[in-house]
Amino acid sequence: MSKRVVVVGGSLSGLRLVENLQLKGFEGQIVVCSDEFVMPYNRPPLSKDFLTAGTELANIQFKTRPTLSSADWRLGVSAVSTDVARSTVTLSDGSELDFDYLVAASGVRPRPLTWERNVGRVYRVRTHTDAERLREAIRPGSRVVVVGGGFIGGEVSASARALGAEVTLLCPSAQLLQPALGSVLAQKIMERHEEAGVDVRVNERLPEVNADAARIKLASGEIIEADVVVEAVGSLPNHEWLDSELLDLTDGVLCGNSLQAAGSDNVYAVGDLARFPNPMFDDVPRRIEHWNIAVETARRAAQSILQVSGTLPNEPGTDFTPLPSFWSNQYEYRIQAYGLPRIADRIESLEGEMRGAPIMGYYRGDQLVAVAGLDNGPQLIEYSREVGK
Amino acid sequence: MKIRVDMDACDGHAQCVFAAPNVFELDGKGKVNYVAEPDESEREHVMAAADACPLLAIEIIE
Repeated sequence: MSKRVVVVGGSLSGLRLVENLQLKGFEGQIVVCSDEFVMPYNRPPLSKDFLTAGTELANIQFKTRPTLSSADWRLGVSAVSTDVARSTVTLSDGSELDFDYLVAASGVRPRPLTWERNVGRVYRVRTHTDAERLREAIRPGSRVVVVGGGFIGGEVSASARALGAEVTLLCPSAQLLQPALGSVLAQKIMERHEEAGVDVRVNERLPEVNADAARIKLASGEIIEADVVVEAVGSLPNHEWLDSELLDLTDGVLCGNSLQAAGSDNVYAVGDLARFPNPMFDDVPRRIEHWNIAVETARRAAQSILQVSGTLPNEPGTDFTPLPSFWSNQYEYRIQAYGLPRIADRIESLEGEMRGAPIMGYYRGDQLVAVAGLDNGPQLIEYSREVGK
Repeated sequence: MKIRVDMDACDGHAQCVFAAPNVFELDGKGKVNYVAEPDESEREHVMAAADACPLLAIEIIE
């Protein structure tokens, strides 16, 4: 009897999972449901070149292997609910699918702010249609207000300046980038934004309720007029369609180190949705929204399915210890980090701080848990090899 | 096997270096140096490297 894998989510992680299953000889049926209407594409350019250079969707879609078409891709179809005990998933087209293995690859969505009026001016950047809509809205001289000082907010601000817009960046925390990256890198990026003409406001409370997207009232009472408002204040996991009776959906899907979901023996989670322990650091399960973790978790979950389905020998595996890697391009800088800065208890300058190309080390006790810098040089890579040691 | 890296796209993320250290290394300028015809025994590592490249710059020709 042929086994069936149902993958919910057709982005990077879902794609890599399918590729890995096929590559290693999985002979069952693979069904992929994606709420998007196109085959998987690469999201990082959406806040950068895709906005500024008029990139076509076709240019950012992943090259696919010929075998991929043997999977059953159901585009424009999302999952509505699951019944883990019965091993069925109900789809938005009304159909119900039995599965032998279910993979949750449905990722995250931007966290919405609450707007009472002029919501047509509010934009976000997650899908290609989001980015297409935004780039059509930004004109030279447009008044663009970006809410959120993280990577997406900084990238969209830099892109909007490149398009000739007037940009105000409202940052809810005390500094740009991820707070965990510390003040040295954040200060450099903030200076670069200001040099580019972005009006950066830190410690700016977010407009939450009764907000008018055309006229944003700050805590100080000042009113900023906006033609375009971009929400970039983090994300929410797309896990509502999963079975909360049996699974732990506290924040994404709680998994073991094999990416098998706790509370089931045939459900797996990958990518932004998977909350899993990484023994490189400790046994605390964490959700990590990085591009490389999407790839790594897909490979690991595929390995798990290949073993339990008998495609590969079910030998005790090695620990899954991926090194998180993330980056942000803003102007000529690339902020590049390896590891988990958020678990550090102190930050030290490893070198270069005075020369303008700082490399920062993030420590928890004596353990180096992350390194980050503003360049992509070989020194940073060499430091990255010490992370988690 | 044969591979090709789009050097205009390469931005030195080093994911390939981690996945296939016998085939890829970073030069001093944040770009990759690579073995264009790696031994067949490297295939699995090279495929992992191609999958892991955020710029999608690595092409496996044969």
